[in-house]
Amino acid sequence: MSPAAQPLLANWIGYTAGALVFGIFLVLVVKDLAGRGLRASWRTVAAASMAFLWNAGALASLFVDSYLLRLFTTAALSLLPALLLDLLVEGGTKRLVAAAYAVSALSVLMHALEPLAPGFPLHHRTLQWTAIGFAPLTIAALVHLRRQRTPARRAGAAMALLLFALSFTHLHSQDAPHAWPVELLVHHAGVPLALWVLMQDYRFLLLDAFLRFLANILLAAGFAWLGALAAASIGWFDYRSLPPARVVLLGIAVTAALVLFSALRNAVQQLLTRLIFRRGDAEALLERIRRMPVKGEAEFTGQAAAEIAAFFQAERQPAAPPGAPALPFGLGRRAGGRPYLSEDLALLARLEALVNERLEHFREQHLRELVSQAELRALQARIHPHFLFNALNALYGSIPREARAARRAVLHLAEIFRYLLKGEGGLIPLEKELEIVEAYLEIESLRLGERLRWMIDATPQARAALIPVLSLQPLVENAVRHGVAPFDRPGEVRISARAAGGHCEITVADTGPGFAGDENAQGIGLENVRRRLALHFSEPRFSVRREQGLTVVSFSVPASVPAAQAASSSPGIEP
Amino acid sequence: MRVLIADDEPIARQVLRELLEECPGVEIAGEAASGTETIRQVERLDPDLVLLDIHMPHNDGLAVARRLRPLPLPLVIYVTAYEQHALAAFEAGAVDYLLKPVRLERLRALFRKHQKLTRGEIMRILRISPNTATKDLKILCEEGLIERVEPSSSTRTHYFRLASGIRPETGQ
Repeated sequence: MSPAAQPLLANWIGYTAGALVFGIFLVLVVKDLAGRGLRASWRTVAAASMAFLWNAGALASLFVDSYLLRLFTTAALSLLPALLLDLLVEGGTKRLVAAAYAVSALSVLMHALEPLAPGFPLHHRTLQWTAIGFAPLTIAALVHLRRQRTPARRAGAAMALLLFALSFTHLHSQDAPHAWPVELLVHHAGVPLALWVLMQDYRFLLLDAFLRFLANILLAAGFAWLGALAAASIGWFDYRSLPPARVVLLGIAVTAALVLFSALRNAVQQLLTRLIFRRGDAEALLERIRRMPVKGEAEFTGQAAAEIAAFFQAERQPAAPPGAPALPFGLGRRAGGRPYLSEDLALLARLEALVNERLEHFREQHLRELVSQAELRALQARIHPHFLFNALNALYGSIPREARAARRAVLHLAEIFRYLLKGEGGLIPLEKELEIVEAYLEIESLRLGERLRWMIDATPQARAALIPVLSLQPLVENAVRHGVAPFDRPGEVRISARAAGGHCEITVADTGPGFAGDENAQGIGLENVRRRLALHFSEPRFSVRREQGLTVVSFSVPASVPAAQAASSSPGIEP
Repeated sequence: MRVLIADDEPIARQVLRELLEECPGVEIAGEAASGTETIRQVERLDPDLVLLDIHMPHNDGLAVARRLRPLPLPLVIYVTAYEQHALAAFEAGAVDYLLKPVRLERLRALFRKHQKLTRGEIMRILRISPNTATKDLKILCEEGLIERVEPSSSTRTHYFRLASGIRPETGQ
């Protein structure tokens, strides 16, 4: 085979593999979707289809030079990056996706116009422009993914590489000679990369089978290759003298034969087992037991044992004498005095493992249920809201009316507990959390007296900003606990909130000495707040610093639109 | 405004009593310690408003609210330790709720909010004797003296929403 033919061979192999891989992927995805409706994942199906058409079309183009075929192939190739981009940023920026489709559509259109400009390499130029057009879109998508913190972020790198590979392919000048490994690497890097992007989005039911099948094919191809090398080295058969098309066809035929052989081998084994050794379908039995519902341990074991005994046509022994060697599941003699063969014993071992695994799973699940019930009960026992607030109410009533501070402290406590019981899920206007912070500071003032001074300074716009529940109060508590309480001299806690430039900056400052030597105690509270903020906002800008002799903790949240205040108004029927 | 306190815990009644004493224009009509007693007291005392605990022995708060629902008065404000049953209470005809321990400011705000719905206000507007009882109000309504009330309207909210729209100057 001449060196010039080698890139052709590389294309042959690349496009064949691509068409095969995406064809199988497509079949499996469609099969998997049959029960669920296509709507949910039309992008996956469309992208897999385009990838398949691109490879199949390119493969056909190696034999047939036709305008329509080329248009068809390049249209599929042009649409593929837009579809993959759409898949990656799904639910994200609509404008970005629209731009991607626009670039693809323009590319298809320009390909279609090719016959109108004879002599000008429109096809080639269009591919170049498409590649260049997708570069900024990919960068925008990557930025978007980084900001979203979605799992698809990982696929962003693949997407970038894919687009790079696609663009590189078409940026080289048409006639420049290429060493074929480079050709193979760059030209066809798109195949595995596109597959990677597709699989990020869609993990289907038969994924393991798909990967296993791919591995089978690769193994078979490897054997075929080694065989060819060995044959060539002993001079028995020199594939290098054949035309590349013949070599590829031969390679495909040998690979297919090897794959077929492995499939046939399994079928023949099963047939032998059924016909000669007169045994039922072991896989079906395993599957039946795998699907048998487990309602109770004894019930499941009994059912499984009955099923297995019927399969082996064996008697069941109520109980083997202790110490005597016994078969699992209480199996006894088989009908007609047939012996248990080695294959049977192996199957029994598998069955035993399966039954044990299912029992283990059942126990685990049962235990988990019990634990969650126990947790719930412990939680309820620890604090029953009705009991708590009725008790606080009674406490309030038993404090003399004159002891106003004490009565107010009870009201504050009730308010704080009610807030805590609301849970830690959602967002709440800063205003509401400030009420709790005030209640908390009032109670601490009762305890620390003159030593605690505090001020809250928040603009009305800042008060409307939405913050995660319990993101400010722990910071204030920290400031009191570490900045004021441990010292004899009076200390101060200053809370301020300012909205500017679409952000609301919330700051807690105290006059304490800062974190020297006490980092751990502070760390947990701060870390909790940091985590809660990160859960809701991509850029909370949480910071801890020393500033003009004060310890300052601050974070920022998006400033809220005034409508957010509506949610906080109390229910009731207006007259 | 005459208020009936309904709660089975003596200390909870005491707390509400103390708070009501600090609300201007509010008179404590009486107290009840069970659902059945609440119904009896409403019939006997004819209050404008009932502060009703949701959890009470013998006919719990919700059942009481349902029984009182067809009457134009008293208004029912339910009082509870925890907001668990808020929806059920509103469905049973309560116009508002209070959480224990009750804050004085909240109680005052609530009276201000619902004052228009109570008899005192209607009396002022229509210049009817303040002694007119609920059943007489119903008769007035039937006789068309409270013009804007539709005879078919059965829910209290509807009734008063219309009545409070009448302006004192014009008498309409």
